[in-house]
Amino acid sequence: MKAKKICNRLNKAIEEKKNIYGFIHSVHKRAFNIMTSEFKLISVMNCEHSMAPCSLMLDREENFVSLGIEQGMRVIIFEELIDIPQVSLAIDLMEAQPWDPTPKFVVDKAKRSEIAERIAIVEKCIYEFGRFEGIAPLVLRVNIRKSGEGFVHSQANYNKYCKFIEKKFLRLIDHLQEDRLKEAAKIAKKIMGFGPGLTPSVDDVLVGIMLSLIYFLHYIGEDRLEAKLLSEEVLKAVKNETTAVSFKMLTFASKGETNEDIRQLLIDIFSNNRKEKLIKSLKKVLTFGASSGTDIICGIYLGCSIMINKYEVKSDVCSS
Amino acid sequence: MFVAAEIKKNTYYDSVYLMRITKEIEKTEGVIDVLVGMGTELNKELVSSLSMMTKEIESLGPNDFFVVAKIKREEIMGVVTKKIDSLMNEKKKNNVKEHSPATLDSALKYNPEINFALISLPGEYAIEEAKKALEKNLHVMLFSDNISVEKEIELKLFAKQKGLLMMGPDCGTAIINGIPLAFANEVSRGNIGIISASGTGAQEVSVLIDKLGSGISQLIGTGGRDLKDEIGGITMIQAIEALEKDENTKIIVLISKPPSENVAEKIFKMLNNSKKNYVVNFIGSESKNVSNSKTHFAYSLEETAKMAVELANKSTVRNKEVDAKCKKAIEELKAKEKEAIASAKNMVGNLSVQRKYMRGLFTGGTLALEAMNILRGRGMEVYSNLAGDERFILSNANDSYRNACVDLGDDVFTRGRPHPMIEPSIRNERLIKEIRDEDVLVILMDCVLGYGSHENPAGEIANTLNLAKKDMTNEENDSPIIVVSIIGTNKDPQNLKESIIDLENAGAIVVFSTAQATRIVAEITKSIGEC
Repeated sequence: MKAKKICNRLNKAIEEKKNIYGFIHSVHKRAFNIMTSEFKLISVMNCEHSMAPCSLMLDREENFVSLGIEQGMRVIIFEELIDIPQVSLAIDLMEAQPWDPTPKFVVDKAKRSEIAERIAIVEKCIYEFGRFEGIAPLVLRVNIRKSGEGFVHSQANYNKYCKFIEKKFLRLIDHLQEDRLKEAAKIAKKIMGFGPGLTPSVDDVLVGIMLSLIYFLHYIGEDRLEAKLLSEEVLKAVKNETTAVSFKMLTFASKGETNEDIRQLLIDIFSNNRKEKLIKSLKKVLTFGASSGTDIICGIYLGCSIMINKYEVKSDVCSS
Repeated sequence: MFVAAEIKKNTYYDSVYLMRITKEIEKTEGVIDVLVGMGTELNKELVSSLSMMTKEIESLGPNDFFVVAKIKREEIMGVVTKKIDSLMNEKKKNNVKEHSPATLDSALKYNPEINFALISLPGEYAIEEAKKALEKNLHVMLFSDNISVEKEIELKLFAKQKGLLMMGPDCGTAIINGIPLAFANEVSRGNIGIISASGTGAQEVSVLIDKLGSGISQLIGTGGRDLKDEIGGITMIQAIEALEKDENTKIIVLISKPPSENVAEKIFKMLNNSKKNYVVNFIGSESKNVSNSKTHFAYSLEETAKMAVELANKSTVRNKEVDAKCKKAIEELKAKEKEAIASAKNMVGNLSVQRKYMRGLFTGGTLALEAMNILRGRGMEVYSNLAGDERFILSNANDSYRNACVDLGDDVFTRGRPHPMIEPSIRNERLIKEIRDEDVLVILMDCVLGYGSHENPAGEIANTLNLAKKDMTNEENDSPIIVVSIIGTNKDPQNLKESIIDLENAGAIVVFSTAQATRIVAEITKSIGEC
């Protein structure tokens, strides 16, 4: 079995350390996770998945459950080979192409008025195609966009998660809107790990917020510290507050790193001439997990809306 | 209240599966609330705030998984725990040796003889996949919606050019060479071909044809917009041409919501030149001048099926047994209706005089439309969320007003939630609401069995009715009469007989067509003189 792509940071780590030991942390049909002895999570995905930080992708469609891989099995990574002896499975890393997880910032930027228009499309897509088992109904209920009417979300989908977290979540938005970033980070810490799913709903929203702040600040050419500050504070507390998979995702998002499809979505929001592709990217991300994709997009929608409002006084065309 | 909990330390399930576990447990009789998640601090706080905390959950960490259910009675604790356990193990079982090609190419590599593709993807991807399939000479059934009219025309013309059928977009029902696709029933094979722009309409007609002793050669879906001016009936015309050539099809049934004038004219012109018998049901529209004595117009789905079967029986060498079976089935249906009306009228006497309105809660849009047309035809003013007479559009589909027929498959209800034919919780919630409305005299519902539908839609209705009954402390007999039209055959994956028993045990009147059920409702409302 061969790997087709590998995150270049993971590749480097494997090259530097002769042997890495770990065990199977979790197994799904199209991906499995390895927890190393240093508590780093490595994802191995079949070719139907898109690349993500600290991951590698195989060259084929493989069902890992039917291969007999089970939680707790021992894994050894050595000399460009991942070995799971109990099921006699070896993954050859020799021919894997490196994949760069860092953010791809936009050079050919969209106009500011277009960004607002695209965020309206994002909102519409969440409303029409989203899954509302997590806290998306709460995000949609906050009419954050100054330029648009916003949708009045159906009360019927306002679930117990939304009701429980409503007050704290609204305080987080208030702090973000009023630039009280330390307070925002404190609230973010308090609500982390909440909601259904292996990556809890609130964490997915926070991932979206952090990514959108990083991309937005780069877009407007501002060297402000919002994104870093929020991310650093969030990360201080995150490790013991949420699941290992979610911790990995939040850690990377704090650096603007994310899955290939989410990165493409962010590029489509901020680039010139990508409007047509935006809906396609949105629909792709919306299919993630049960409601994870919807929740991440909600975070992006929220982060971008707050930033649009904050920087609305500036000129229409942004400088690079 | 009691709490049943199951925990798994350091165990991970993907989130789609976690949602499924939640929904399955929620459906268990006696379960009030369910939480499924990882043991993070805030999730535990939520458990606590809902009074579902246990010692085991208190001790969990963020990488531990829990399922907790609040239940009414202690004795069902074992049932709930067993169900959770079996759901968790089922995942492992189902994953083993499953073959599911991820791309069209790999499916064709697996079996190069494939000539038909069923596509169900979000609209944007669906277009590309449909094009790909047509390019590879596959007929396409496109289940997806949210596809522009322009793209629909493009796909249909491309298919036509290649001599292929492009069924859909928004095509939910088909039976091709005896294989039910998407939402369809297991019906007998026979010499009646159906071409339909309406999914549930086609389901009801095919099921009734089966019940009357005949069968289906092919059921071809066209997609809901095919008979609009913009599309011009491309697929229906192609399907007519195909069934005209098909030796196994003697009678052809056409079903659609009212088509545009021009398209209808084009189709009728084709029928004038045909040698085969046609039964046409363009729901709610008037019959047209067709100079061909072989074209017959039906005004309800029930009448459509009866006409088709009678014509089918005439088209073959007379078989006394088949004729007798059909007559017997019709007599049984009539007797059932008569009996149902009598029993309903008896029930009316026990209800408070304040009750006077009917409410229709439908999962099938065409079925809702048929019920509404029948009731309006009898002079009743019926409000609805279906397009039509603007005077009677419900201002808020979530709240019924006076007599009302609601299509719960409408976008208003299904954004972010599965269609109620798949996951009936939208209707269950609404049913409870209508039962609690003291002005409601009778509630009319469809119960659609078959592939694609929920595994036990009748059980869902029955459980909801039973729950509603338990809630009522006083005046136990004073609750609305429930009339259900069940659409399904003995061969469907759900058990038809048990479904009927479940519904009747829960106090519902059960009949076998929308028209029958609606006539009963009309009789009930007439009996109190409040139409």
